[in-house]
Amino acid sequence: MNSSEIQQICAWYTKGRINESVGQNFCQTRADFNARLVSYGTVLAKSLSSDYLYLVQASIGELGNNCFDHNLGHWQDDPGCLFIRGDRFCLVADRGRGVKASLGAVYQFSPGETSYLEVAFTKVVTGRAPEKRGNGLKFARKNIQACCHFLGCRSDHETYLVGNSQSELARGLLDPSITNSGTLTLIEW
Amino acid sequence: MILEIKKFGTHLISRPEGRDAALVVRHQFLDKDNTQSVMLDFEGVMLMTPSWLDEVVQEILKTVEKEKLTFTNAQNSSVKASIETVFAS
Repeated sequence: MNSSEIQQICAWYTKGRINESVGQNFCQTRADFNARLVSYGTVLAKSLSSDYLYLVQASIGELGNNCFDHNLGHWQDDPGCLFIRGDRFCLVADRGRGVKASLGAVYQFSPGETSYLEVAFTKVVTGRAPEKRGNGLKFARKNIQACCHFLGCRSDHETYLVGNSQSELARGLLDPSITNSGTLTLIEW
Repeated sequence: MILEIKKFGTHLISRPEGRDAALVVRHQFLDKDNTQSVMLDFEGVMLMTPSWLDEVVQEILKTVEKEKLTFTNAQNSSVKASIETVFAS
């Protein structure tokens, strides 16, 4: 992915500008996302063993699920998520209400906690009270940690990282200046 | 009762799809046979998330004791990880 395409993703994430590059990877519905996720299996199979493939695919599924589960009635503009399916990376992003608004409505920080994203990825807390759920991001973190070298997530002004990446994509998308109340997650393997 | 999960699909991803499956499990299997024990058979399932499985399991556990809910053919890594996640919480 070249720097122009990265800039286009940032322009969409921060300002909602949909261009051709973003548009062709945008899933307006959950069914669209699921269909693309299933077909992505053949790409993942080129670089991941079958055990890792299904874990990564299921983890991406949970990231996409969150886009649609948590943002109903809260989209900033066009409903849906951006799903870019690379050979060695995957990006799932939405312009919804973000983790802080979703989780902050039902969770109060314990002493020492300062990041809603960290809570979302490490604690079982549902952002959709009164449901007693909230396993998706923990499931994704655990599996991605086992199968991939990097997970990076931005939401509001927060960043959550597992592993390291020096890629142009990670540096471009996870820069602190790229801010929106939605959620953007990058995985690299 | 043995529930063949592949009859609900081979790629089981979203929570709403899981909720739909849970309603079918409730009304067309559990209530119909007044079932006391359930074995979930995952043979043929290619992809599963905890969100999908959680909906089905929570529905079953409304009337079936946890000890009487068992699993078979759960070798697929996403199935295995989803079971672990749902039952750890």
